[in-house]
Amino acid sequence: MNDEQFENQLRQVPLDMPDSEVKRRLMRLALSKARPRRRGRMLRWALAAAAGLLILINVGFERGHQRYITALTGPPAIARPMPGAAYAAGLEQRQEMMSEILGENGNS
Amino acid sequence: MMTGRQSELADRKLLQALAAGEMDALAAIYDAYCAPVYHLLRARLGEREQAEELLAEVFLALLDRGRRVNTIRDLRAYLLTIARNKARQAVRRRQRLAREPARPPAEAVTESDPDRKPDTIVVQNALAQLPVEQTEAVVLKIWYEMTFAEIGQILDISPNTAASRYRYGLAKLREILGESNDER
Repeated sequence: MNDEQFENQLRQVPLDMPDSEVKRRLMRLALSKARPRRRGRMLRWALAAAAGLLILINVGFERGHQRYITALTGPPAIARPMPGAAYAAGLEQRQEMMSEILGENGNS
Repeated sequence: MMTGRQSELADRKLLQALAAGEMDALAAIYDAYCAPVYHLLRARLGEREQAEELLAEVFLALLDRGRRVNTIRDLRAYLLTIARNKARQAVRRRQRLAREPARPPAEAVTESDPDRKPDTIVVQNALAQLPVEQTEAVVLKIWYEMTFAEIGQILDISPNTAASRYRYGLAKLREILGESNDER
């Protein structure tokens, strides 16, 4: 019998196969391994959603708070439009008052 | 006759399903490739029990890759390489712990299982008498029809070394089984 014939003869002989319990054990271990991974993914999504919600709440609160403070104090002076002529007259008046004060003190 | 290989397309689909978390895909991959992996482990370890224990670990290693599992190009070669590495680690551990030889004496394949054909017993016993390296080469070549290049890649040896181990192994098997080569 040549090598090829011997090989063919051997090939026809089935070798031992593993016990079917091995597959069952593998699937049990695989499922228990996969479960924490899914849980971990869900946990990460939940944390990201919670963080996003907190940020939204914070932004909303900040805007509400700003509106409340503005309602109490009114808008800042610089936000109020002032007519140019009245501003100039006010400056001139202030200048005269300062001159009077300084003039009295300086001359005395 | 088992070849221990299915089409690349079938492998690709299974790996994609496994990457998506479908455990049925792992079961299908096991069904397709448990035979060559198991026989390589048996060849190296000699013991059925330890080979079966490591068999599950080899397939579980696929899960450790997570989504990257669908980047595996040759699934059979990948699994066999993992099996080879795990078997080597097991042998080293065994030697370190108990100062035992690399492979224990071959298990007697008893006739207690009525489903096991007599030829299987004879051939398994004969294979167990070969050196480990020759058993590996003979099993992968004859039962899984791998080329010497493929065997070399899995066993991390050159194709020429794989061919040489195979030839010596085959000659020794003939001797053990009492088959003569009429053409020599």
